[in-house]
Formats: sequence, C-alpha cells, structure tokens
Amino acid sequence: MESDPQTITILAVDDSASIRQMVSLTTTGAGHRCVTASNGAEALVLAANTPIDLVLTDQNMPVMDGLTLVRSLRAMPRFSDTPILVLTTETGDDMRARGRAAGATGWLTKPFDPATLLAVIDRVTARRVA
Amino acid sequence: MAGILVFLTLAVLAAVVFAAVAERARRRALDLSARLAQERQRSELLSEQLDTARLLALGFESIDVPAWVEAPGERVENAALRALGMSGQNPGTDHVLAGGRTYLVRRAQAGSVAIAALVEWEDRSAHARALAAAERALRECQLACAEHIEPLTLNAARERLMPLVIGARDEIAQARALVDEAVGTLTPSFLTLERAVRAQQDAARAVVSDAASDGISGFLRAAEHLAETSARRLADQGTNAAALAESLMRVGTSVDGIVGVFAQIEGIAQQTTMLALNATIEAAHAGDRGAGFAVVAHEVRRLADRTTLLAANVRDLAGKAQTELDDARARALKTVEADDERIRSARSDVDRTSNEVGSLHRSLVDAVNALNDGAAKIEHEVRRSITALQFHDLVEQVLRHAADRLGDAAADIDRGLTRSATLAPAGRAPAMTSPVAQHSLAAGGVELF
Repeated sequence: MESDPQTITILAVDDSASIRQMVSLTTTGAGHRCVTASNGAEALVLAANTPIDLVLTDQNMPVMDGLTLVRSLRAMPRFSDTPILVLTTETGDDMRARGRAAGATGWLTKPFDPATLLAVIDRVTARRVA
Repeated sequence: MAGILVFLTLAVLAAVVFAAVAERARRRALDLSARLAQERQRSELLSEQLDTARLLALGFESIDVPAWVEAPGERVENAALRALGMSGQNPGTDHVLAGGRTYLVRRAQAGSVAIAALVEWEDRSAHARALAAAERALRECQLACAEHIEPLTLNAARERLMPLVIGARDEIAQARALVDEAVGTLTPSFLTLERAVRAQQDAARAVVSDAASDGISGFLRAAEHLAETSARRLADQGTNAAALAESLMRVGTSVDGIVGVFAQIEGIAQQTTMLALNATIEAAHAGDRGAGFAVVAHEVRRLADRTTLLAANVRDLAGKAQTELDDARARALKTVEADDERIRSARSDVDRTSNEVGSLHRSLVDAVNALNDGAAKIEHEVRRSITALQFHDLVEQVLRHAADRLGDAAADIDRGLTRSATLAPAGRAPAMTSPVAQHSLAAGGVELF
C-alpha cells in the first residue's frame, strides 16, 4: 500500500497526558501519524526504533528535558535535518537562544492554536523538502 | 615662681583626679567583664542543660542510646538534632527546651543592656576598651545563643513547612490528575464535534456543488426545451386545423355554388317542362301531322322531369354536405382554440415549474451557505476551546514551580539545621523565575529559527 506523500510521522513529547492527546488528535485529524512520549528519555528510545519525520517537544519535563532531547537527537546522523519544534510555556529570550543553539527548528509558545500548529508543521516540512 | 608652683600643684591634683577616675573606670570595666564571664558560665551551664534535655529526649524516644553514650561529639549532636526533630511528640522535653531557649535570649538581652549603660557612663578611652570587650562578650553570647536557638527555630519552621510542601505537592498531583482526566474527555469530544461539522459541511457543499448545479440547470433547460417543442407541435396542429377550417369553408362555398348551378338547372328543367307541355298542346292542334312532334315533346318533358328530380337530389345532397362541412369547420375552429389554450397552459406550467425548481435551488444554496457559516463558527469555537483547554498545563507548571520553591525553602532549613547554611548550598540553585510567563489564555507565538 502506497502512503500519502503529505502524511508524515510526528513524535510528540510532553509530560502532560492531555497535551499529548491534543497534539495527537490535532495531527492525526489532519492525516498525519503521531507517536507520543512523556519525557526526553522515552522519546530517544522511540526515535531509535521508529521512522520519525518531525519532533514536537515540551521543554520542562522530568527525567530528561526538551533541550537535552534536542541536543541528543541532533547528535544522531538520522536526525541531523529533521524538523524539531519546541512547544513550551517558556517565553524568555534566553531560553529561546538556548533552544536555537541546541539545534531546534522553531519555538512555539503554549497554548497552541490547532490550525497554527498544523500550518507550522506543513511549513517546516515543506521547507525541509524544498 | 609662685605662678609656677600653683600650676604644678594644679597639675598634680588633676593627675590624681584623672588617675582616680581611670581607676574607677578600670574597676567598673573589670566588674563588667566579671559579670559577662559569669553570664558566659551561666550560658554554658544552660547549654549543658540543653544537652541534658536532648539526651533526655533521646532517652524518651529510645533512639540508639548506646551510640550517643559511646560516641560523643558530632554523632551525639546529630542524634540530639534528630530527637529535636521529634519535638511535639514529647511535651515535657519541649517544655525544657523552650525554657532554655528563653533563658538564653534573656541573658543576651541583659548583656546588651549592660554594654549600652557602660558606653553612656565611661570616658572615651574606657569606652573604646569596654566597647571592644563588650562586643566580644556579646558576640560570644550571641554565638552561644545562636548555637542553641537557631536549630530550635529552624527545626520548628521545618516541622511546619515540610508537611505544607508535601501536602502541596500531593494536592498539585491530585489536581493535575483530575484536570487531565477532564481535559482528556473534553478534547476528543470537541474534536469529534469539529469533524462531524466538517463532514456535514462537505455533504452540504456536494449538494450545491458545480456538478449538482449543472444537473439542475440541465434539467431546467431540458424541461423548457420539451415544453417549447410540445407547444410548437400544438401550434402546428392548430395551424393545420385552422387551414383545414379555411379549406372546409372554401369547399362549402364551392358546394353553395354547385347548389346554385343545380337551382338554375332545375329552373331550366321547369321551363323545358312548360315548353314540352306547350309543344304537346300544339301537336294535338296539328292532328296527325303533329303526332311525331307530340312524341318528341313527351320525351323532352320526361327528360325535363328527370332533370328536375336529379337537381333536387343533388340540392339535397349538397345541403347535407354543406351541413357536414359547417360541423367540420366548427370542430376545426374549436380544435384551434383548444390548442391555443393548451399551449398557453403548458407554457405557464413549464414557467411555473422552472421558477419553483430555481427557487428551490436558490433556497438550498442559501441554506447550505448558512450551514457553512455555522460550521465555520463551530470550527473556530472548537479551535478556541482546544487552545483554552491547555490552561491546565500552564496552571500545573505554575503550581509545580511554587511547590519547588517551597521545597527549596525546606532544603535551606535542612541545611541550616546541619549547620552548613553558611557554606555554598549543594545541588542546583533554587529557580526563582517561573517557567510560565503567560497571564492569559491567548494562543502563544511562533518563531522559526
């Protein structure tokens, strides 16, 4: 069975179960596939065993935070140019600068608007393809 | 000379007076120093009483008694602190400790008052010396007090704070679970609603899609064409009927002409009969010579009679034909009139039907547009709801940060209790900046690097 070229697999990482659910329902409703993890360490395990096209991660999480996850993924050749978006309540310039330095593709501040989130996903995915 | 003697005498007297004053100040300073030393001794005594009280507490609590008996120093001190951490469970021990603390505080206050009085009374040099000595004494007293009072105070604060921290964390976890469950139920409901509305919207769009509109327009064009064709056929039939009526009228006129001709023939026949009758009479007058002529006259009369009879038959037949022609023409004219009425009625029916179908289609389009507007509003509201439902994540992070700060305060107190508060704190520095800066539930921004 041939997959839809616009359908991508998204890894959503957040310690809040309902935020994971919102991201999952929003993205699967748009035709994407979504796998979830509740912290950075779980996400790394998933990323090692699953083809991932885009990562959407929270920053403040137990066990392993978002920026550590970003740095760990960027150290893996398979994720060198995978879009990684940080979705967090953090708004400080210092944190954004750290996110950029860690290798994040973009910084989204919570709460997210579902349509905006889908538009950003489409945009960074298209940018990668282009 | 006398002046010099007077000056020297005064100088000696002044020296004697100054020496007396200095001696008095020295004695008072010594007296104060002795009193401070006495206070130190009493503080030490009280400290010993406190240690005794701690040991009593340990005894009451039966906590590792051989350890503190055999190993004095820090282990005993730590054991005593653990025992102090259990104050509240032994009211008798707490009473002793509280009494000792109050006594130490009062002694420190008394030392301060004494130093202040000395400063006011003594001269500058004595003041400086006494001040230095008093400061040292006060510092020793404060240290002695701090050694015993601070752990007591911090311990009491920790006892009050730790349950708050633990309780706050438990309550936050409970609130988070409840809100997570509620939001987890609401989110799929909202998104299912949005998808149902979107499906309804798509179905409605299909109804008024270009293809459907083309179908309706095609139906209307076909109906109009059919009606026009039928009307044209009816009109043709009417025209034919009218032509037939006209032809019948012309035939009737011809028949009338024929009847007229036969009327003339009948007149001629009657005149011929009269001539034949006259000829018969004249032949009778002529006798035998007229016998042949009489035969001819008779035949002519018989021929005229037959002609008259024939003309009458023809006139009857022509009259009947005329009547039939009139009936046929009347029927043809009625047909024309009926066709005209049917054409008008058919055209009216087609026009009415077309208008009704067109109106129905327009109503359908309006209804679907209204449905689309409603669906767009629902979609917008669902998006806003999804955004607003994320409040719990923000609130949970704010509360967790507050609990962390309480935990940091408790850790500071713990460090104070272990007398390492003045050292650099171990582990991470307490986070003073909240991870949540939002003050509303408006959707957050996006920055692509």
